[in-house]
Amino acid sequence: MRISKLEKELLKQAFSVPAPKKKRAFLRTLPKQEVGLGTLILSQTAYIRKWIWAVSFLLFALAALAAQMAEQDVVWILSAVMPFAALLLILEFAKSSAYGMSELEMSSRFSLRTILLARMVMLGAVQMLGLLLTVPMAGMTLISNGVYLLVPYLLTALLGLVAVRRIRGKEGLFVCGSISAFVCVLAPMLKYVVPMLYGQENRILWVFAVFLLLVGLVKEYRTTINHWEEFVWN
Amino acid sequence: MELVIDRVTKQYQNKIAVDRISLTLKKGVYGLLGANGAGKTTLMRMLCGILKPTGGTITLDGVDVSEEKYRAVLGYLPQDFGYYPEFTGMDFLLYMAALKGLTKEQAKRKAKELLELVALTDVAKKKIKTYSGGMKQRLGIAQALLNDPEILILDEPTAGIDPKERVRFRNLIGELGKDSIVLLSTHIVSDIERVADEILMMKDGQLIYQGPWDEAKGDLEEFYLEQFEEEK
Repeated sequence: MRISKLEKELLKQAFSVPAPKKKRAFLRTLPKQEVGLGTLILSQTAYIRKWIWAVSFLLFALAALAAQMAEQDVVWILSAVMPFAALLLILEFAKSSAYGMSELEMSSRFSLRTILLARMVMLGAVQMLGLLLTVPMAGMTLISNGVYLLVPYLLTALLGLVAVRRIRGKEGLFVCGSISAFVCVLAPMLKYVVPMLYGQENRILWVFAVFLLLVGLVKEYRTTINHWEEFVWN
Repeated sequence: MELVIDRVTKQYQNKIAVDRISLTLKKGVYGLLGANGAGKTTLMRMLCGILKPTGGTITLDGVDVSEEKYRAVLGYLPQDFGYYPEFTGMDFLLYMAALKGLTKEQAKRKAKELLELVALTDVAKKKIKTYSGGMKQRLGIAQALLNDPEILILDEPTAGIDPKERVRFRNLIGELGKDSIVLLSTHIVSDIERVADEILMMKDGQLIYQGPWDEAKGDLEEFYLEQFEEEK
């Protein structure tokens, strides 16, 4: 038997609703909907600042444009952009401690390690996609020139992580900016000072450098996270 | 529900911030008192898994503090906390809800409910940077309650809150203590005296008093101040 709207209204008027007893205890017994790691990673994409996405896009768009216009030294134009892309990654990484959110984030269900890794993976993946699209537009192949672009990217990211771990707060971020500017000019400078470094015969050295920097980056990420409690303590 | 703190120690080079504290906390409100530097915040941070103890263990019904399962039932309000500048009050709660593992629907419902509870509904869509200190503190309290915590740790929760809100907040803590373990630290002895079932007093990293406080024992504030004087 269905109760009509009017009957419902009359019932409401006739009887006052009793205060719930042990509501919280009851609600806790209900099975909880769990959020998986995948959903968390995707949700973190929304919390990467919009201007970080915009600057990342702008960097690769400008690089592609400049590379199409330039007849030579295309690889140096792109390699000059890479440290700034890495800087954006570090700025996003350091956001938590720079704005004093670490303590809250560390005590939440998903650890700060997971949250930061999620953001790094998402932003890094999008930047690598940008690189994948820009390189052919510049008339290059990723196989032949990719290592020249990855080295400045990974080097800036690694040195930036070291900087934010050792120098806290906004000063650390300024140092990161200086590091990216330094790496930006380092690659073209090396080309003129040590041109043979970019010869076909030395390509293996660059591949080795990419591998070393990747290992270093993973190691530094773990060290930084493990020392995060020092940030809180200080 | 039992939170067991077993010989927990935190040492920083030559300073022992927390010295072999052992406690068993059950449902109820526990008031933590102590002078600045007594080790209250360090103890609370260890209970939240933010700081690793140098020695000892912390478990909730056998679940270690380092496990996700422990953090899933934890609510924490730090003494000082920041926020991302682009966040509104609602954004902040939705963000924290995502980190606490709530689904989008649960997060929205709970955030609205809590904003109403801490009287911030009207300013929910305003940037946090426009909030007063008391409003920020109330927002902090709201985020601590998002996951309906079984352990609620509040470090100086009433700091910056006006007297009227403080009374409301005290009543809320009393309610929460019926179903959860609530540990709160404050310098306002009267707050603790009224709401806490048990008093914990710390000095130089050690627990110097543990137990309920009744009038027969005298004035709690006086006893508390005596500890300060001894320190001087």
